[in-house]
Amino acid sequence: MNSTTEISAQDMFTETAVGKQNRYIENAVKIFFLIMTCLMILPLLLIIGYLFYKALPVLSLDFLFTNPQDNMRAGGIWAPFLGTIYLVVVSLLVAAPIGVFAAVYLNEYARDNWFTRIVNLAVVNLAGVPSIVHALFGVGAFVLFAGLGESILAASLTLAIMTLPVIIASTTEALKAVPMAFREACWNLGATRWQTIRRIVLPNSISGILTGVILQVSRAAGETAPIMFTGAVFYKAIAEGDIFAYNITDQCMALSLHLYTISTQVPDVTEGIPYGTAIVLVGSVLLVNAAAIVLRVYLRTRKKW
Amino acid sequence: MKFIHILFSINGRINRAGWWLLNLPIFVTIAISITTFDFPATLFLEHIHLLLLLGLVWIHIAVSARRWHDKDKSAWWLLFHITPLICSICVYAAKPPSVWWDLIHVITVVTCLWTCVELGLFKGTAGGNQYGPDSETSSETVIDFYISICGISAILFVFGIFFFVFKEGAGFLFSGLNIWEFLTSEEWYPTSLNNKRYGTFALVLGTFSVTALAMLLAVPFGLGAAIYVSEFCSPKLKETFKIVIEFLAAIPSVVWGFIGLTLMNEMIIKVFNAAIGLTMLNGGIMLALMSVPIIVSIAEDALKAVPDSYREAAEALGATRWQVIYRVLLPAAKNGLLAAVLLGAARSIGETMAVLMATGHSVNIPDGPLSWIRTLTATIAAELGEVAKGGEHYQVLFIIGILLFTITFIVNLIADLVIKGIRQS
Repeated sequence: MNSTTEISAQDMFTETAVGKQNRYIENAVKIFFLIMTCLMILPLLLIIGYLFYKALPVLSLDFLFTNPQDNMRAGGIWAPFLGTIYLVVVSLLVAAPIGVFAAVYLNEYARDNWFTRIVNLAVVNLAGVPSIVHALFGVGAFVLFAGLGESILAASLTLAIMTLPVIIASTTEALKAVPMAFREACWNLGATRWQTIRRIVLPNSISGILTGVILQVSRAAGETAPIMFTGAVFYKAIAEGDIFAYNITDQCMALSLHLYTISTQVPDVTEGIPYGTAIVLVGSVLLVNAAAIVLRVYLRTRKKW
Repeated sequence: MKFIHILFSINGRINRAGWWLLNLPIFVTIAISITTFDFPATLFLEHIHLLLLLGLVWIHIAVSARRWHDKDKSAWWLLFHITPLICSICVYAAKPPSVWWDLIHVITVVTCLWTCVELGLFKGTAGGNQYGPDSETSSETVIDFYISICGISAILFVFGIFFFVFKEGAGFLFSGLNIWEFLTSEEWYPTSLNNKRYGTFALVLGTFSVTALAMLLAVPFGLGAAIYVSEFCSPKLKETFKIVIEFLAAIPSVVWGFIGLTLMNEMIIKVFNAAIGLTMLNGGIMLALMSVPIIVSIAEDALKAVPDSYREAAEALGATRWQVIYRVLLPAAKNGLLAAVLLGAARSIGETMAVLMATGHSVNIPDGPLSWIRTLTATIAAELGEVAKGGEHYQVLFIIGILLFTITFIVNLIADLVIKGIRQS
């Protein structure tokens, strides 16, 4: 009696052959998937490292603040850099209010009926429309029909419509995260729908909304196809150091298009310049994204519920 | 009906905030059009602009009439709003350096300011008056109106995209284009002088082959990463991986194209001993890297949506982690995973710059991963800048746009229905 208990206890704590095999399989599977994940992440580091290494000879503050020179074979990236900022800011001014209000409509106003489903479907499809089709739309609607011509305004409007789903999606998510009880408490005090949104819902979801807006910025900064035919040009000289050098009815240069131009259309570009342009583009986009992440993490720690 | 009343009716009352909310956008629009466009010379040439402008002026007049009502005054006070208009006509009539010129300016500015102060700053009569109850249209109704407009704007934009792309291409689509040839011929000679051919078969094949290759590479890695992140990771590691994936998604497509053009090009030349590395394989790898973040995030959502009780039940029966994943999670989440793959594919089909720069860009029926191809998107991007506006070639590019729009629309629709399917079951 006594001895059998001892044996079974020992059995319980020593691994059986099947258990051991299972453990091996589990570890193998875990490592396999880990390798898959890492293989996906490796390119990111590799690319940034490669671009940075190749760009090192040209990178300096001067590179950022001088215009392209000698038919874009030398010089810096001031004109395209400023152009990208203009495009992003104008498109943000258009897309942010429309996007946030659209999300408020979808989350706070819309009833659960066929019409709302169609609106949601439209948002999903707007996100799925290829960027080059947005470009065609920009040409047809803004450049030709509205008579804006190829201008910063036309390009920014195209970008705004293209990036709208980004803002709508993250704002909707942020609004959904505000507990229903908050709204109910507010309504019970006699507040109207807009008062509830203005005083309770929006302040409590501002972090998510800002994240969406920031992501819109990073998306808009990197796009090339939609601005190619609606307002961005291969070359335009502007005053160096003057941040008001562009007018919104002018055409402008843009970093993304500039990278495309100097890497495919212009022969004999100084070795490091395309890499420098690429790293500035990637760097600013990732910096903006990092800002969104920091903001999200910071505000999550301050959440009140 | 309510919204038509808000914008166009001159009956009833409106409060100060409502007046500002409706008028500010009008003032800004008119100010921008005056300062940026050569007003009125170009503005009045286009009747669409004129129509828009008249619409805005009517809204301003209607809203201001209701504001006068709110102050218990007749809408005849609107006559003061016409003063600036008369004055500006006089300004154009009067020779610039004269006393009249200055006087007219002064009168214009004074009346504008006075009406703004009178309508924008002073309260209406308390309680009801002869024109209606207090704050019959309040600022809240106006805000509701704006929010609803923004809400349905997505529909307007999708229709707008289809409409304007279709409008530019419609002329040639219905007269002249041989649609059968457009879809099945591999001859794309849009610039040939005496043998113009608009066959997109090779381009369609290029798009689909590079997308298929990209999915072949991206789906295993994407799903594997999603499984790892969702099932094996500690919360902290998970957060890190998600951030990295977000970064991967943020890299602009033109940078991917540039990487394809430089780094990947050299690597393919070395590894495969090929003459040129700008091939379908190159484009496929770039597209795979671009669509992997979408696949990971949507697939991870799908796995997360599987209830924990499923996992617990399987583990209680003695299943290993791998068995749980293979036998329980994957079947339970299969719709979501399918949607992830579809959305990744839609992203690849629509991608422009990366494939334009990395795939060699020559019209060719692909016969292997190392052949050059050209896609639908790249064709538009490369050729639209060089064609004459309104010509056949120009219209054909817009027809390709319609084709692309239709393809991605259908893929997105299917993905959406698949996701909806999960939610209902």
